[in-house]
Amino acid sequence: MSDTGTPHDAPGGSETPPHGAPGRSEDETPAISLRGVNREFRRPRTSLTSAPAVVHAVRDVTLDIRPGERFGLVGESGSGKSTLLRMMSGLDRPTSGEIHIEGQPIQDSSARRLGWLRRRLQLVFQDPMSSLDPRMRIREIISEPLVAQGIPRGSKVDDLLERVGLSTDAALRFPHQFSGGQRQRISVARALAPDPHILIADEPVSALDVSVRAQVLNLIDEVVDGFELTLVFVSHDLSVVRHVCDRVAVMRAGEIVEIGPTEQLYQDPQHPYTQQLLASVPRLSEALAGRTAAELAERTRAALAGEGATDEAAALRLAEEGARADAGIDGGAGLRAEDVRHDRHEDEGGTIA
Amino acid sequence: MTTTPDRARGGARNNPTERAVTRESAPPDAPARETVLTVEGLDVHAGSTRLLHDVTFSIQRGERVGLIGESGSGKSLTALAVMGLLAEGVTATGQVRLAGHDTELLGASERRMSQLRGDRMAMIFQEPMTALNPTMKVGRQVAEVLTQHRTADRRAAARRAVELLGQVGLPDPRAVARSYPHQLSGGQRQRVVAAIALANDPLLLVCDEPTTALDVTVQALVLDLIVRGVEDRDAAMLFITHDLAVVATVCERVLVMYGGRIVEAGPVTEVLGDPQHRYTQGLVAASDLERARTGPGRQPLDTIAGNVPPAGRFPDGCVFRNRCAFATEVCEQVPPWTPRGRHEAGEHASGYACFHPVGSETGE
Repeated sequence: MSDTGTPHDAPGGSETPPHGAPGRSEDETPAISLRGVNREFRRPRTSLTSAPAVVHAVRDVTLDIRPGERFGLVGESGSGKSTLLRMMSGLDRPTSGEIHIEGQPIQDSSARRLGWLRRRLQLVFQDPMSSLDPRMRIREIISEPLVAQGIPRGSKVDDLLERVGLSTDAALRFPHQFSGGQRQRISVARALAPDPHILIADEPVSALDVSVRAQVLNLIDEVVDGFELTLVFVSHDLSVVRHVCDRVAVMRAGEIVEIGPTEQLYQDPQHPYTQQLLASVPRLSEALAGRTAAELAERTRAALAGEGATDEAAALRLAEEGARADAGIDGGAGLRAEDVRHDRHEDEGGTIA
Repeated sequence: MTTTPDRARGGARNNPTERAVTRESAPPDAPARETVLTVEGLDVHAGSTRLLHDVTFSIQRGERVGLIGESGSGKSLTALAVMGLLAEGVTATGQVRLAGHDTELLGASERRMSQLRGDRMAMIFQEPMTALNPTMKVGRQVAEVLTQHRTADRRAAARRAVELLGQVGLPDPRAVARSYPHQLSGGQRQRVVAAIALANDPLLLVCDEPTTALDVTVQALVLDLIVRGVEDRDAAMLFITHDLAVVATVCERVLVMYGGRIVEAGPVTEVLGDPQHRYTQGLVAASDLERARTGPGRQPLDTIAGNVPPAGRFPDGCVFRNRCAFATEVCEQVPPWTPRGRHEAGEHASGYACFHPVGSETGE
């Protein structure tokens, strides 16, 4: 499992299927299949004479997600996890490589021809306020995917509201009348409306309070079981991913550096970066047993030292830049935040079909 | 309870660099540590809406106290009231006193408060980008807090600024001093903010979610840095967070807020290891992802029913009673503070306000 060599060879070339899919037949069509997926972004030009810098946001990712699997994707900010997720859901296109959803390629189709994908794959986003239209009533929000698909609405909205634990009179209200946790329930109901096979959740509980987080995690658990969904769950919170997922991939600087069954990866991390992440997470049980901030930082430094960061300054630099796909661009030490800014929304480097 | 001072110093010992010295000179486990911050009966209103109810606590010299609670519970408001930074139209009543200053801080003039802020008390905010001035070089921003309060010598201040930036572990402090905030990464900016806050060796450092915006590896390093800075100066710290694991790592004592009241307080190991208030119990259980993993299959997480009400809509009496499974009629009254054990910082340092504390039920 989980290759410990250089990060470049860990996820394997485009032929070798990824590890960590035990006990399933070989010929089952994966729910999501990525083959050698790359995504490059071009920075805005800063000079007339030199070419703009290219950020390699996702590098050669090859991955199969089985139907019914709960797949987790962890990584720090800038590691490329959101870019990968956007490509999986047809919101962005790879520079090169192939993406198949339930056996059908999506990388070359225009958004208009991906209508079928929206019926099979739905998303839940991080911020439940900005992902719900404030001017629409809950009924309209939840039935919008149905309208877009031309599916008759029927009594589906009420069923869905009940299914996610909201009363049916919520249908006539507006998003601002709900708390964060309730809004996230509405997002889940909307995602479930077209009866998708795949649910992609991008940091769905990061904006929620602890007591509400548990409710929403339980809800996701219930609907994934109840609707027999394939779940792709993206988070920077390692303990949440551990709770939710069967298999986890760790991303760093655009690459998957380690992938494996959840418990195996958490208990016996192979890649230094995974070790470093796990070493840095504060845990309540350990803190109550007496671990101080100094000890926590010491563990982090030890893990960073394993990667060559010998003093505090180098450790900080590695901790901050090591995970980023755009680190080290422009020849500097990778420290300049202004370079790091614009990469998310720039879309110049994609293939022109 | 004697374990907490040990934990406090354990951190310093593990990290033998230049600091440690001041910490060792602190009195060993002295029973009467000086009280640095006293907050008594703090009420905050916005118009007719009561946002904070009778908040009472104190922090001693060298003590690190956490303030936890969900959003809307009033933790940031408490910090802002202490710092005299409440928005216009938000009024505070009660008492806030800082050691060595007899005046009541709540009624103090803005002029008086601005003498104290940045000098005797300082604050680290969640978002380091907005805490720094984007049009000013970082070195000048650190030097400014020195010239404002201590020295008229700009050159000495600039030299000291570079020193301070070096102390917070920034690579090449001279270069950092010459850069603008946007040229730094999040973790670097937060270190600059820490350097500014610690520049004048404050008596009290207030941190409002200082690492929430940072990635976990950077968080581990920055938390250590803040704790070291506070230990070196033997300062008191009020640390606000919603992350129970972070508060348990950083603090010795913790205050739990809900609905604008402190519902439970005490040493971290007691409050989070053996909570008494039903809200704290629910909060600890809901964040315990490890428990759900043990046992056959996937266990649902424990939850607290319902949602956090918006400000001003909390029930009268016990603020938690509309979400509490144990609430009875008696909870319509405000529960009295029940001290738990004896704590050197007084009865409000350790205790809870609950009519049906954990363990009081008969049939469970």
